[in-house]
Amino acid sequence: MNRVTILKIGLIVAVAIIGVRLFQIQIIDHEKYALAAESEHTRKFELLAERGNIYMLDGDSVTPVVMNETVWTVFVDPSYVGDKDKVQAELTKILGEKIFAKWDDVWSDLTKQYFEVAKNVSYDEITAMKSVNLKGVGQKASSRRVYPYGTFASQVLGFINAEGVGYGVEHALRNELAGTNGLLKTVADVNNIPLTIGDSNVRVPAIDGKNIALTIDENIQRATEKALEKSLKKEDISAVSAVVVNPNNGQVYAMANLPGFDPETYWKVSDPEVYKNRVLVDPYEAASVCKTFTFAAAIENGSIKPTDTYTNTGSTKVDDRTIQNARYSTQFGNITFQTALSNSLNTGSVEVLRRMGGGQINKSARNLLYDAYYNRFGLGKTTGIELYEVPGVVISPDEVQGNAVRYANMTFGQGMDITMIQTIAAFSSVINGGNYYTPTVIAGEVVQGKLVANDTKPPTRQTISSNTSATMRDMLVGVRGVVGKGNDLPGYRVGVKSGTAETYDEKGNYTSDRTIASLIGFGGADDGSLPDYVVMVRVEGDKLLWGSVDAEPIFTEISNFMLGYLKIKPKG
Amino acid sequence: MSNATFASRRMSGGTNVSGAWGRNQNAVRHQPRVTLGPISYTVTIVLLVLVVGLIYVAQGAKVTSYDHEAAVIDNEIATLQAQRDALAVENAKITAAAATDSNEVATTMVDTNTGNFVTE
Repeated sequence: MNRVTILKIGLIVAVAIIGVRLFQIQIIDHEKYALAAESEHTRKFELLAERGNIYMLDGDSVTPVVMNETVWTVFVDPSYVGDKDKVQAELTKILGEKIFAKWDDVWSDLTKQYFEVAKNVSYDEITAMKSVNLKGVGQKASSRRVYPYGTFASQVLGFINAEGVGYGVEHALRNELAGTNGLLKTVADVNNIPLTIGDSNVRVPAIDGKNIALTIDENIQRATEKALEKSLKKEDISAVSAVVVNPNNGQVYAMANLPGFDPETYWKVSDPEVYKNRVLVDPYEAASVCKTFTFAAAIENGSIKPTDTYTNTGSTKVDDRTIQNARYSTQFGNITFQTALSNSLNTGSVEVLRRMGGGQINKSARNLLYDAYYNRFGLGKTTGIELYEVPGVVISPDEVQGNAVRYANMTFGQGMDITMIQTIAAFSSVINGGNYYTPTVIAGEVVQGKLVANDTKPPTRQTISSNTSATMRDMLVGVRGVVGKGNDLPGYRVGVKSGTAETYDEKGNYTSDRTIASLIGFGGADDGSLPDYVVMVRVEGDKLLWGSVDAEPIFTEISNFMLGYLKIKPKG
Repeated sequence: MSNATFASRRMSGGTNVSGAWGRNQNAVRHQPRVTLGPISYTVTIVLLVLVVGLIYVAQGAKVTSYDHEAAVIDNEIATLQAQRDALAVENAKITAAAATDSNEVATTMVDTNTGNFVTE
């Protein structure tokens, strides 16, 4: 057998062996090897969506109040570090207090390949670290929320923790802000660098979260917080809140609660109560501010006119209970309902309820008040604002507890729990012609730095007629002639109603030693046009506080600011 | 070879004078003295296949080198993005501080009188 023949046979055998092997690998074991190859070469990368920023209005423009910042986690590979002393010294010098790892622990096990030593490292620090070129030191980028304004509007903005639980806009609009992560499934090399080769690559781009613009105006919010700050500094005042809205569309201009917190370091607060947006989640007996709704309901119903009179003896009996006016009340004798409202007399509001029932606090009167309070003014139920809120309680006359005594108390805002946002939304409808607007804090979306405003929503319902609304405006302006008279800038029309709510003592009885003071009011041009803003203030502390004394100065400060900020022309 | 079928090139020229000049053409046939055997052929073909394979691999490597360049550029973009974010945050913090310290709001707000006492 010559060499050629041997070669031929050798080649044929070799080809046959290869052919058989190929047949086995590619046909018989195809599935197995295909999967093995794919898992070996293919990597899945999650393309992270960028969380949307939150903006506030700044006049006609927008300004970011919640942003994202890239930060890094620095880690050490002890098995790869060349000069331990150098790494330790340089990292300590550059990262300082951000190093949380104990160096002895880091070097204790040199077989470890990953040991985190610092978190939340900034861009400048990471740049400095890279310039030193430390062997065995790496970094991993991530994103964190930044609140450049610190405690400003903290309960409105809120925060969201790693478990997705949080407060404020950050939590309520978490889905819109989060966006949708994308996916990159691709062949990658040993360094995990994605390669374009391969026919099964998948790339689903991430969809970034929306940049949300709030209706809250940075300047009005600042003015509101500044006014509240002064009050909080007073002795025995523990918490103050205020909300400012545009009564003609329901947009919230400002919403503030003090004390606040820094959302960037929310875990450092000693009392988690500060997370609460009390305007929305802390229902209370708003007291005499509710007389506004009682009088509006009765005037709408035709039961009373402001000039109608009744006899005030300082107290009135309802079933087995005697309801009294508050301490130091005056105006005894035959007085008008305007006088009763201006001086916030409980006997007046109880008498209004009697008139609604034809002289008695009967089921008909209670039904009428409940219909006004609950169905039309929306007291005791959530308003529909985009943020988390609680409904509170307004007891129906159909329930056992919905008796005459309770309803007599409800005419001046006791015996029911409502939130500030419910109150201001209802009050806005009382003075804007009777249109109830669902309050909103969302102005629209910011696209390429410009506000794309949401469509203005129409009113949800009619609460009272425009004539009743006009009458109520006049009555509330009349109240201002008694409460805080002369405090407004001249040439404007301002109306208010104050309230002082008794609270419960340790035994569950009402006490006047510790009260919650409230004041709600509107302001605008004195030219017959509708009011331009409504402000509500709430002050609480461990003492007797009066709406007309402790909440009124805050209202006046914000109100006078609004008159100037909105460039409302004074009369004359 | 039979003489009967032989046709001389000289004769085919006939009386044509120019045909006479071509009579010696292709009279000598040169053949290479070195010829490739079957093994050499096989080796040559294998080498050619290898060259084609190398070209293919080189092209593949060229594609992945673009991917590496793209990865470097992606890293640079990420770094610049991080720098931009850091500057935007710094800018916002400075703006916030300035707004708090010297905002028109703060300077134009005035203290008001204490409210009048009203029973409620």
